[in-house]
Amino acid sequence: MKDFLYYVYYMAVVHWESLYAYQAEVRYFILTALLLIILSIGFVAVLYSRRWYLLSREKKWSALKFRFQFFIYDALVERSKQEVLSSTDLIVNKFKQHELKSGTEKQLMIDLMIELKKSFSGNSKKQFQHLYICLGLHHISIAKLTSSNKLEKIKGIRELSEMEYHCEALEHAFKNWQSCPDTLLADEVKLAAIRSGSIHMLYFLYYQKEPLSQWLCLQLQYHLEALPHEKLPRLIYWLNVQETSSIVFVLRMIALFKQVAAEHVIPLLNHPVDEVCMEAINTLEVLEARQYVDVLFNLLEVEQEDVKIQAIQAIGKLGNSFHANLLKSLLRQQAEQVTFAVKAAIELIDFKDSSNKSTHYSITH
Amino acid sequence: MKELIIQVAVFLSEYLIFFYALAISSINLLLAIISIRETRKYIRNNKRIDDQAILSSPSVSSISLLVPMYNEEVSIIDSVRSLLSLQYNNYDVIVINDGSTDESLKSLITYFQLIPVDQKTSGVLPTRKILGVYKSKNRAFGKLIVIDKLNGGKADALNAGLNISESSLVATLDADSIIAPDALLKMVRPFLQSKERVIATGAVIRVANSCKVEDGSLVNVQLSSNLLVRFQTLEYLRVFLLSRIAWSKLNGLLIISGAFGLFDKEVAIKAGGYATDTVGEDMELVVRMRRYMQQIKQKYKIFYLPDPLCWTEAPSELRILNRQRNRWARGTAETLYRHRKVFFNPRYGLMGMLSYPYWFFFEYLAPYMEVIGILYFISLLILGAINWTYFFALLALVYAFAVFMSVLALMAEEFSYHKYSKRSDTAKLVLTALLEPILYHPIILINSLKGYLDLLLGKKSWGNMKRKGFKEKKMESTNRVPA
Repeated sequence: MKDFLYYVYYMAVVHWESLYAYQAEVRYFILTALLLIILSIGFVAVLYSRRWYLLSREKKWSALKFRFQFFIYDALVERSKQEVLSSTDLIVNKFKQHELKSGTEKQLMIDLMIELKKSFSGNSKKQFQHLYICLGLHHISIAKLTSSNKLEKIKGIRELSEMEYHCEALEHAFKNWQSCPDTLLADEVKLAAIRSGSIHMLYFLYYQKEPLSQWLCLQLQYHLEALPHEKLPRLIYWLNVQETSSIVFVLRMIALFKQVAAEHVIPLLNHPVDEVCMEAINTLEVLEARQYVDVLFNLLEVEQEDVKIQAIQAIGKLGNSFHANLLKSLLRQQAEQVTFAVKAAIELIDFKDSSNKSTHYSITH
Repeated sequence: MKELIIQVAVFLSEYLIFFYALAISSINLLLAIISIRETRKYIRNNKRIDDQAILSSPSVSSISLLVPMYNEEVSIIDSVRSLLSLQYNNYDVIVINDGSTDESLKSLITYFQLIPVDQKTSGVLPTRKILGVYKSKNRAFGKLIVIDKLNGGKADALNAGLNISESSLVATLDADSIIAPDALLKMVRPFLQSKERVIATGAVIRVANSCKVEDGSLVNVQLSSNLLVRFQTLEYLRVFLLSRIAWSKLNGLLIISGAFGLFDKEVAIKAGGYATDTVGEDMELVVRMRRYMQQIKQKYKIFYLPDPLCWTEAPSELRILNRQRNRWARGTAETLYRHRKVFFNPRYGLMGMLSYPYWFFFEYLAPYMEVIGILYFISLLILGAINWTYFFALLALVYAFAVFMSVLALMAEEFSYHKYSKRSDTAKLVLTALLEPILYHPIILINSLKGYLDLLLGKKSWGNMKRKGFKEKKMESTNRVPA
């Protein structure tokens, strides 16, 4: 081996010196080509070693996953038999001692529990949370919140919120990171706050300066819909937020959850931004605020056609024959689109009236 | 005087070619570094994104999938079935039969129980005559709309689709493309997330030859045993993983591959839709959309996702590859000529000052430069003035660089999506990388030059692009033949 290395060294020196026989450009070409070839060979070696590593890791992990899954179901079944609680603790302790040794194994367990938890509901879901705490896995997730790596922080927040584990560190994150400049982290915190049912959910809306992305709105809505009704935030508090897209979002949520009394929405009909005004009309429509149809008539005086049309449509849905007669007076002076909307609204009111009468007739006869 | 001319020619040939090669290599290396960095960042940031919210929301942006069809009898049923089962809540599939002469339309009508309907089209974009619009009477295929029209080419068919679509976004794809079930979910994400207006998104296209396809969906990724296909596999990896992603980062993309792209319909229509008088309609539309956005002075973005979301059939026969590459070269040249006003025009921002010049110098001119190099070498050979040491050293460098870039693309693939999982696949691809500069590159060079010549001669046709279809490929994957 020593001789071989010496031979390689000798050849390299000889060739290096012989390179000087060539002109400078040729020397650079050869050296660069050599460097590229060496790099290519190195990359291929990395490719193969990574492939080998991945294969062996995959084998190890699938075996671990199988064992862990078996343990989880075992522990869940034992816990469901209320009388043998000590038996569960026995399983947990045994498992902690023999299986969850390295950080990787613990992380694998957390990931697996989050994944499995999604297919359970009610009491079984709570048992996952208990198991998570019994195994001490929450410490790992909490530790991630103090990491300097943003992705680690995100991971920790997601784990704790998915497992519905409440702690001070998490609440601190909800309070302070929702409006942080890093959008990836901030978005995760916003969603996690809702997932956990935190008192700080939607806190960021007060400080929102830039428009909310459609993606974030969809995600927020999805997570709010997943919350139990009693945990939903009191949306009325957000009706005075400043940023346009935030108010629109809040109005949509009010319409979705039918949570706020229509009188609180009325002031927004005078909002200087058309989008907000239109969303407020839509919300009144969804809340079926029939008592405020007269207020909607005020909007027929505005110049913006979109707002006017939206108001007419809402009147059509909420109004009665009296309102239909009032609408008729608008038919002549308005632009084509508005006239069309008025006609549609009158037709809708007439249709509602006639169907009401027929229902009444069928009931009385 | 004569001597002076010769000296100038020698100087230009020697230094121009050298510095050109140096510039192209450096830029490609830089793009590769940016691409790898961006891909890693994308994967890291999107690893834990839960698409369930988008998947379950009815208020998510609506998408129309436009599928132009011309004599696709072999694969159309499987393709449409696969498209009808994508993971997205709000989309429809519009198949446009561009005057097929085979049984494509008939088989669609029979299989999907289609009946003629009276569907209005906006008619904003002029197209050849629409013969009929069909919808299925079976609710299971409610998302499907089929347009039958006179033959007018792919661009004309896509314009017909744009006219009939009622969605805010349109995805265009080839009838023989296979897209991943979550492709729309991923492609729509930039439209929903970006603060600036997104006008188009594209995704990495991969070669589907030899892959196992069942019911129009990709079941198992396999590397083709056909060397020509393997060359293209490697080429696609290099182009998409080491270049397009970087251009996306720089917001300088000039092309979204026709095989699969998602566009803002409003901008596409306002920009004038697809041009019917070019064979490079995909690139042409993107350039026109960008010009339109620059003209109305609105900030915009075009994204390219590193996700391999679309799998397409690459030509497995040399004559078909020749036609395809000839067409691509003509398309590039046509688009660059048509939009020559953009060239180094600061009014067009990054596109004018960076993307267009790059395409002109390093995509369009590259074949010419190679020809100049070859002619210079031949003339020196005839004159007996070749410095062989210099020549071989330079040749070694060029070859080593070409192989290095291919290996880098394999690395990028390994550390990103890792689709070719067999160890033998890596060996085959490395071998392909060694052979590619010698065997494949000359084919591409010749076809590019032929394409430019054909364009000068006024050739406009697409050429017959007969496909094998994926059913045959399944056989190919089981009956492997040595390359």
